Amino acid sequence: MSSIRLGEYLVERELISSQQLASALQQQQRTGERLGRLLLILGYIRRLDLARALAALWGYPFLTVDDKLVDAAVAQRFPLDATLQYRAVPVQDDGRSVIVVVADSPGPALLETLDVVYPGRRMDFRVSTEWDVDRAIALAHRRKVVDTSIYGLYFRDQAESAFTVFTLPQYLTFAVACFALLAGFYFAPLQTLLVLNVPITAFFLLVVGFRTWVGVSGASAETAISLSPEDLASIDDRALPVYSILVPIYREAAVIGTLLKSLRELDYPADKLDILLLFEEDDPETLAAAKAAAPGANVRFFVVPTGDPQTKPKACNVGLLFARGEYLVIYDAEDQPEPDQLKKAYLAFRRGPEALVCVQAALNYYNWNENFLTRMFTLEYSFWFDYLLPGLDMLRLPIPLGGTSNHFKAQVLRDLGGWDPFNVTEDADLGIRAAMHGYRVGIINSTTYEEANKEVGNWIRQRSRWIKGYMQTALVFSRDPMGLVRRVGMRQTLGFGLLIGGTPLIFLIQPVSIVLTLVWIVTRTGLLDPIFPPIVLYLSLFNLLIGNALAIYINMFAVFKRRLHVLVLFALLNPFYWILHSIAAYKALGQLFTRPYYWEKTTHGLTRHGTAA
Amino acid sequence: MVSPVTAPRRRAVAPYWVRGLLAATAAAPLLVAGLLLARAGYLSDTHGAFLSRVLFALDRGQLELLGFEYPPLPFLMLLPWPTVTLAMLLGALAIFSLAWLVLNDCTMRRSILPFILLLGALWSPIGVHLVASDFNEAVGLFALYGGWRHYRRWWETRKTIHGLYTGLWLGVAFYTSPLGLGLALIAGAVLPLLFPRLQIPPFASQLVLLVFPGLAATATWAYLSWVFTHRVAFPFSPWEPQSPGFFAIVTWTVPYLLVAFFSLLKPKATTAGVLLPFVLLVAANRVGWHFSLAFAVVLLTLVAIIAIPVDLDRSQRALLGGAAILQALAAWVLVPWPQTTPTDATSRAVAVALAPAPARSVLIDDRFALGLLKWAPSLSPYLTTRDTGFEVALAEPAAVVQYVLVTPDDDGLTLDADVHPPAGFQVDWSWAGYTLYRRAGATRLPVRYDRLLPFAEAAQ
Repeated sequence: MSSIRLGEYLVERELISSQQLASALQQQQRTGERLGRLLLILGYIRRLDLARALAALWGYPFLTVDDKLVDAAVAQRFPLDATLQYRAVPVQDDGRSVIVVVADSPGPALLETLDVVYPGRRMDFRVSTEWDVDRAIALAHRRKVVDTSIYGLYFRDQAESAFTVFTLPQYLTFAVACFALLAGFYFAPLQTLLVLNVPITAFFLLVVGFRTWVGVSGASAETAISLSPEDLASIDDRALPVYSILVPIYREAAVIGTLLKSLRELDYPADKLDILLLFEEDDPETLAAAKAAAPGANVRFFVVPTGDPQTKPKACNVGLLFARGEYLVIYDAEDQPEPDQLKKAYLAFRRGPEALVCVQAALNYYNWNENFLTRMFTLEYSFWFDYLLPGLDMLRLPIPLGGTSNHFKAQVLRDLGGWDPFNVTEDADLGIRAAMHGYRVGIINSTTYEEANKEVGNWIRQRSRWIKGYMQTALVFSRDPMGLVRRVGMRQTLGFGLLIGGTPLIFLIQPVSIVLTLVWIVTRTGLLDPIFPPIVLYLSLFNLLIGNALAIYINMFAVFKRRLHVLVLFALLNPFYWILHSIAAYKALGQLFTRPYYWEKTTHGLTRHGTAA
Repeated sequence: MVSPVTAPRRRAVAPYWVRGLLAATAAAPLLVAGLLLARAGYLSDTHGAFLSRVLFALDRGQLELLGFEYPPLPFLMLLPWPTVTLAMLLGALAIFSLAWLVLNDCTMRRSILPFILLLGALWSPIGVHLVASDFNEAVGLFALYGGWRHYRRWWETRKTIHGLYTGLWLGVAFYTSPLGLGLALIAGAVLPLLFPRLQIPPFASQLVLLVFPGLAATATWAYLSWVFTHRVAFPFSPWEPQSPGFFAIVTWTVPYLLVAFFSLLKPKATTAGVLLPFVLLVAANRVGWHFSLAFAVVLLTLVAIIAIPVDLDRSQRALLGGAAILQALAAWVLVPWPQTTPTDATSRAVAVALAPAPARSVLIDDRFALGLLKWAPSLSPYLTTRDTGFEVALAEPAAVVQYVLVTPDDDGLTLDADVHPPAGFQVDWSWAGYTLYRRAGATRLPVRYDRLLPFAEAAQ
């Protein structure tokens, strides 16, 4: 059906004015989007009126979906994949005909598929709004949606899921190591300490070297070609694909307004945005707040069915099922992405290699100057996203994705199995999994501003979740170390081990090192001499003095690059900040055994500071 | 939004092999000269001090016995193979690397003049010092120049990576010379001149970034010396007995003076960067930060290379190049080559004679035996003030050691053996100011007279 026919029909029925039609057609010239969607996005027509008009033009009756209409048994015979592909839901079957709800004009491919599933029936198509079709899908396939979002990855490849926390060999290794340690401490405590100290010191040295190498490489990355305003200006809006934005929200009614404002400010044709706000069933307040905010027609609401584990990746997997975009990005509720981010990601995908499956934007904080914690957090993020991740990118090492602002090729993400809902750093896990499957993750020079945690308790909750997730990820990918080496190579395996495995380990070991150092300095005791033979002592001192100085110095430059000059001297306080990491690491370790899938919720909306703008 | 957006700068670069060949041409003559001098029996006090300290630490198996004297880098670099050959190879490598960087500048500027200035400073008895006598200074010059180049690119391109490299290079330079910190301070101090609209927070942060590595290096070394020696080492170099005076520096840095003059004709913000290193050298001399004439000459030549005005005409360029060549020629005529001394020959003879002694069997006050110990192929035979048993041996030598050696410089205050033998010892031999006492009953050292005599003859 031509745009002119629909437009004339709507004008004739006085559902839109001729000026509005002209304006929409003008925009259509620019973006190439369908007229009906444009009229919706521009706010010229109500969704219901548009659907009725389309039904009339296509020659099908209009239908409103309600709970009683959908016969789940009938709908479930039509596979979920096909349902999502055609956006068509068979809702009633009387033996002679099947009522099928659609939001698009049914084509021959749909008819052919329906004939296979419901042979001998006549197809009785009814037109409804996109929202109603999605609702019908959710009603009909609730169980399947829940199962896919939770166990999709597990059923696809158990070895890549964190559902099993420890495999039997890992348990046995752990048990043997504990037993050997206890026996060692009983029979030869000093020798045991020495045996422990040597690899720990060497490991610290490796991590210091690795992080410095990657950090300096990341600092050099700024001399590489990146995406400039001229590049962005050269983009033809008509060529832009539909871009899905998933925003999982839980108990964050307070930030809904800011979120919608940030999404509106994105420099991307609104009619090509497919925004999915993902709510939890037990959080009606946030859903109500979102409805009250009356977002644009490109925003869809999804209520994620309840079911353990109740985690962000599960919600994201639901969103992934329903996302229409060729590309897809995750944002948190409090995120404020730079407006050019989607276009930069699009360009990066277009210019990047075929294997590029994801690009990560930098994260930073708009309330960086609120208190000590937010300053230190900003120092850390500036290093992580501006130096470390670009460094990993430059060195072609696996990149653990950050919590938000990771942009994907949607279909490849589905092929990878989506996010692991049992892993509480599903993003880091996905980055490594992508590398395992031969895909690449890249970095783009755009920033999303978030709210930094300003309260210690809240910070520790969040950090313990992150560290626990790193532990889970390390456990998942160390189940078959040789297999990992075969698939990604020795260099990448070492990089993964030092970053994902090394980070929690360093924070767990750090308090012991600090205590030993303090005891040594204060008491000048010779008791520690047997566990610090000369070479170990020198390496320990190198780690302590040079390693820390290097870490602090590179961190100074990271905030300097961000022009947060006040924070340069705060980098000197990093050792105190790292103590908080250790506290969180021990909490994470405890939870790994007791509540491995538990998602420590971070409270947002605590800041008194303004937004990034 | 401060995301990087700039495309990399295109640079003209000469082929690697051309640069390698030219850099090797700059360094090789110095290495050959150094090796020939070593073959003729020359070993500088500086290299000797580095080597004897490293040999001592290696023999005792404790790195902290280096004594945490400053600068630390040369000791650490000599650890794998503590020989004068390695010291010279390292010096030559540093000169090669320095020349490589200068050649990079040449290709960027499409001018060979910087390389000629460098050769003018290096290819003379002055430059030989950096390989034959103090490789540490060569390493320091390389690090300082590396830092400067990045510093210049930092304020040209505003890319933080160059700032990071500047700090790291200057930090490394500090491990060879305290001037690393001084130059970092200068680099920070002139920032407001380079960026006239620089506000205080960015200025302060850049200053911190420039001096942090030097300060961290100072704190690290001070902490280590405190931990291991119970005193905080002061960062000055004890190895250069005296620095060249103002007039000596001026005499042998004509190209630098010319560049400074050209810069002053059209003063810009960067002119301060040309003049301040000279001021720093003079000031360093005053506070006891010693350096050699070669260090000063090459350092100021490098400053000149960085600061050559881009708008020099052909005659001015010819004047600069000619001055460099004339200066080198003058140095060949006026500056003496490093030479071995009679004292060196006798000390070497004694060191070789004592080499076969059993471990820790020779009591010696190493503070007065630098001239001897620098020739010792191993520090194993000697029980020194740095060994834990020294005090006991001093109180009762016969119970601990078999031999006591008194050196010509030893005033006898410690060993009290310059006037009479320690109890239970007798004079074994006394020669050229050295006296060896042997404990009664101890075996005579199997002195290899065939090896000793040639040195002794040389000493006569």
